[in-house]
Amino acid sequence: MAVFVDAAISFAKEQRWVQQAKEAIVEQDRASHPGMRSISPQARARVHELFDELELNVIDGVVSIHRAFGPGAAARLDNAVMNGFGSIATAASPSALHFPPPSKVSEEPILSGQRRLGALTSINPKFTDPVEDYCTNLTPDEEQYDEDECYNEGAVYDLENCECSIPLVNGGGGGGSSTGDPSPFIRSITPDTWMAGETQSVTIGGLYFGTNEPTLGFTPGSGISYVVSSYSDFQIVASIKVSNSTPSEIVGLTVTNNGYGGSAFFGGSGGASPQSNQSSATIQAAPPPSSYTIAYNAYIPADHITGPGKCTYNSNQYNFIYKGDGGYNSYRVTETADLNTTTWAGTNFFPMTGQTRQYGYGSPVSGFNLSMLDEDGIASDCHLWNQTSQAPYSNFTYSAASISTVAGSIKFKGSASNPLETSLAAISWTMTTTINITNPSVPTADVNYNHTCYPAHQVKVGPKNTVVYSYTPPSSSLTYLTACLAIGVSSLTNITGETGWVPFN
Amino acid sequence: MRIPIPGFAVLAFILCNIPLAAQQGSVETLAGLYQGIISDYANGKAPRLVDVTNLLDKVPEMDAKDIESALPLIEEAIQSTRLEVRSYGELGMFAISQRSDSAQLIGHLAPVVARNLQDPDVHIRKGAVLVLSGMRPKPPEEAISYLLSALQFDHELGPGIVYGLVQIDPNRTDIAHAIDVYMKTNMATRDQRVDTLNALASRQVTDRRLISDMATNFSDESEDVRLSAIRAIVRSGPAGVEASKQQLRRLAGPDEPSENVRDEAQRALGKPQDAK
Repeated sequence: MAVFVDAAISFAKEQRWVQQAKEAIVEQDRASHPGMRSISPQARARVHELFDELELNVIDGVVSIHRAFGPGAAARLDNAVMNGFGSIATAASPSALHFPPPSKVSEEPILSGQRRLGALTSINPKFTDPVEDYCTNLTPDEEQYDEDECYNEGAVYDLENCECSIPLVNGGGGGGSSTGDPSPFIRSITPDTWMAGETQSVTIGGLYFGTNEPTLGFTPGSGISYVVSSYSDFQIVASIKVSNSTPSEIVGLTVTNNGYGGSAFFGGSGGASPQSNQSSATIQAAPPPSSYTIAYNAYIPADHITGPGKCTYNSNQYNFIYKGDGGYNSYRVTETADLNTTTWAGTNFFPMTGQTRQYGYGSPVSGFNLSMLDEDGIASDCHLWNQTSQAPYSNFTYSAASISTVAGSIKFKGSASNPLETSLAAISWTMTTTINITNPSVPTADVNYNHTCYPAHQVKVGPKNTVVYSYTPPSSSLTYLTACLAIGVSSLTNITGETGWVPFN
Repeated sequence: MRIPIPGFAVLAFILCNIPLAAQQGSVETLAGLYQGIISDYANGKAPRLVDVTNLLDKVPEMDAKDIESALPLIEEAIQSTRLEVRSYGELGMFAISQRSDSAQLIGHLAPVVARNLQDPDVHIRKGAVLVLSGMRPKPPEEAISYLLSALQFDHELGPGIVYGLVQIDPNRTDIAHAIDVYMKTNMATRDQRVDTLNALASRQVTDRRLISDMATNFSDESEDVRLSAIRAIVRSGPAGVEASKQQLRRLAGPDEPSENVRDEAQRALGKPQDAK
């Protein structure tokens, strides 16, 4: 029975502490509002909070005892709790707490009334009647009104119902008074840890949320959205969605009371705020994926280009033209690999070159872009389609490096030339992409780039293939591309630099 | 009250605010462009590459006289001690070489351009090869001689020189011989072999020695080289495929470890013309 004795002692101590705290609140409120006949709504809310906490602790303790002793002894222990807690437990039925059957003792007890505080005070007749502290100088009618209001229909004392005077204005909700609706108060948020990238059902417990659908506020609110699933004056259930990119942070939550029974919130002469205190929840950033894909590619940003190579058709020389990648979702060269975010090792390396398609005199038939009209199927005749080939990619390389526990890099390197043209003109690149997951919800990439000034070069990272580096050449003319790929010395044609950290999630 | 401004002061102000290149010639002309390039670099400035190429893109439509008037400046540029100026000089020569009358316009400058075949910078050497081999309708004999000579000593640019010579005439005895020697002795790296085979992949290549040299690479240890050899033979035409049929059958058989090579060889045997 040591569990029971400890609990009973604990309850008694807490009861005394609550009583003292309540008296202090009332005294302080009266001192700060001399001449007022009743304590302020704010002070009242604090007292309510104290009582609610006490009630919850009692319930939690009883449930613990249930669990500790097993369902078979539950009913007897209920009685024991009552006897140990107050001196006249016999006056209070254990059923006042309405515990569930022993088979359901793992669940939170279901209380009989809407206001659970009433259940607690009903088994504690020694508790000082708080109404005497709330109200002063009442008229006889007001005193009678208080007497009536402080007890519910079951003749159970219910602080929530207490009024200090005959209300002049119908506040609607519990605790409403002539001074208006009290400010809402958040007591609990369950669960109070939310995962970024998920939608969770959150129960907000408290007081004075109103009977009109309340509004939730979040600080900071970026990346958080919600839908209220159900609501009452003392509880809100909402589906709260936290975007995947939200970092780990503490979020302040407020409830705004939008009034009762279709009427707007009325703050009364005291100017009570419809917005609650700010309670907090913790957002845990989404864990980083086990790896990120990094992709480099170079592409011709045009439908077609002219090459330096020539062929002869009907005794005339013509430059070959080559199909580009503009509008075709293709590339000249590509390298991709996955970078493991734990080991920072590279895997799934994939080097590739695109198909090279060469055309002769007459192309493009349309006068603008290559089309099926250019595909005559006759090879090496210098007329329309002429040849198809593919550059080798066996000299494309990659290397991964771990920089720290939260950063690693992949270096792609290679060169390639048009297999149907002179090898003197070659694309070359050395692209080092570093990933940093210091903030896993907002990973960043830095690209150290060094490549020829033709064609276009691009680095994409992450699950959404976010472009973290992009270079588009200013021209696709034969002279420009020949300068970039062959004749131009490095100081004129090498594009080098570093992007700095670019978020990519 | 108006303050009189001396005329010389106005003139000085204007002159000081005109870009140096503009003072020495219009950048709308080829001569003006090269005047600007030479003087800009002499004064620590540098033009943007794309601004230069944008004007060079107009060379094919320029009047021949305008080009001739610019040649002394381009000739000066390609011999400049400044690397960038030499590079721009060769770029101008390349743009001119794409004209149908280029051999007539710049053929006499082949010796000047050929000096750059020994430049320490590989890009300058590449430019020289492209200019010498690209002149139309046909490079002068002098230019071809320089290229044949370069093929013997510049192994790095060997495949590019081979491409240029194939564009000129791969069946000329001296050209076929030089390429044959190069293929037998100087194709040290995989990339050189691939690039040279790609350079030979032309219907114009009918010389039996060169066909044989291509087929020799069927036995190369590199898959890329074997693939390139098959493609080169196919592109040389039906005669090349016919001459290499036995070796192609071997590559198409189960002894060939590379599936890509087997497929390419089977396509070559089934259809001498390139597949789409």
